[in-house]
Amino acid sequence: MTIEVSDDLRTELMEINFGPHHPSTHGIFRFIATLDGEVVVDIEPYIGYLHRGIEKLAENKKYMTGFPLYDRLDYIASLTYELCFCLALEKLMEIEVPERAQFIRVILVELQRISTHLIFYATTGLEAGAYTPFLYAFREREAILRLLEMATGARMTTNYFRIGGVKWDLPEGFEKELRKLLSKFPSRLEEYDQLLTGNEIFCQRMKNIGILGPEIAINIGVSGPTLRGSGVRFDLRKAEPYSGYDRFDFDIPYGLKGDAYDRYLVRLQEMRQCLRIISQAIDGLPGGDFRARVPKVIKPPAGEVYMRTEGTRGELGFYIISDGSANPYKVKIRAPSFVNIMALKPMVVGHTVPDLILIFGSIDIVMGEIDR
Amino acid sequence: MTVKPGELYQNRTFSKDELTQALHRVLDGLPYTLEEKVGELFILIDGPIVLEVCRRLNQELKFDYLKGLTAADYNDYLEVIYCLYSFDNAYSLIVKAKIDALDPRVDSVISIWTGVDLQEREAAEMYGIDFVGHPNLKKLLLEEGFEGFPLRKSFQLPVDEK
Repeated sequence: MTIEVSDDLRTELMEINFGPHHPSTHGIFRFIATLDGEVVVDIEPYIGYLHRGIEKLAENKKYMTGFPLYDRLDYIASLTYELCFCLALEKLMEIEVPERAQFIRVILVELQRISTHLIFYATTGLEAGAYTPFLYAFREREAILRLLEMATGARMTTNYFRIGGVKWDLPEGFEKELRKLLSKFPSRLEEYDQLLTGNEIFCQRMKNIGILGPEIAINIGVSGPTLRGSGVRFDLRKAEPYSGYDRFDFDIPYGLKGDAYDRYLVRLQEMRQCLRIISQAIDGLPGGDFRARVPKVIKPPAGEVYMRTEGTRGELGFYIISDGSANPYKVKIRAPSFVNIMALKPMVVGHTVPDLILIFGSIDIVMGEIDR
Repeated sequence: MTVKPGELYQNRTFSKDELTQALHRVLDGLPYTLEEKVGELFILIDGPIVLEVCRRLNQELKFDYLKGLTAADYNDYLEVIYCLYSFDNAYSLIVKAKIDALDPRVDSVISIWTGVDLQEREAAEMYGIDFVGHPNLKKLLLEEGFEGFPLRKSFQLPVDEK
């Protein structure tokens, strides 16, 4: 039944506060939505609840003493930050990384990419009202975390990469465990598809909401799966290959419409591509050193460098200025989520509150890297 | 620019020499220095012409993507750093604008790249820079009433007692 409302009947706008501890905000994020009835007309993010001043702390520490701080940015994909920081310094100091170390880095980073996409899958299910996918996704994530623990010694804050390579070589038995995971994972992905991707209710909820056009996405500076969901086939692993990514054969999944469902599909397809990269890397894992010979105290020549990599959520960059001393003069962390949340407003305006939760989830943010 | 879904963005349509020539042509009449370090192209300018330079780079050379905005403190002056990228020709460029440390103000580029909103707010509170034309330049990460600009070199972190 619909109710006829005359056009000159104005309803009062209402401001509603979400967070900072609302379970759907993926951390301590707060936003104030202005609603007309149930329709969102404006939204404003409030951040900073997790601000630790990592950029300032880094200036006051030596390069490698400050290194563990970067693990605490995106705490569920710490290796991606370690990789980018190492690459930036290696670029500045012109260090050649041994092939074996490059392959180890790729394997671990891609494993972590799968595990963060699994969290996305799990939470998207939760937000759409499906609890079961959560349990399935966390089962596989556990297997990945166990592998990471095996290689690095820690499940989350890994502190494993070093300038010029990695901390130590892969342990015995790692390859066997990894191959076990690789052999069973494709069937698990099919399970995920059966649970959620083709689910009629889920499709109805996710399709045609939060549409972000490619031009506006580029203008805002959106990157990663969120950008690719909008149809821009751009991946830094292909466009500006680093750490030997040009040696691996993989595709860049992209969406056609730019809605929440496309962003979901892109991430699910990306997991398959991660598997392709990992199996190529483990098959071709060369022998040799796992770390180049670098001085104990890192003292890059004076200069500045911007290095960007494809993080799990988008373009992850480090802008490092060196004055030739053992402490960085400045470290700027370009966190993908920090820029991606600017796309929230164009996505949600005109949608209802339940859709707002799904759209927000489809950007896939983590608060650690937004607040830094 | 119009995006065709699925088109691959990694092809360079012209060489680096052509890019530097194009930069000289586009920035003609403005005071600037062009230099290359560690494989990156830098354009050094003064604060007051930031908006004009960014507009020309955006409109005439299709630098449509702002990778990031930040600032750096060199005690006697500040620098606002714009990292640009062009999807169209796959080139990166870093624009560095020098501004006065005592009266740090620079035009906001939010009219060109709308997503710069939060990054300008962050640079504003961390370095005390006034981004003229930004519609909503309030505190972002720091708490209300926080004194000082933490990323300035003159701001000292409290020392541990131990």
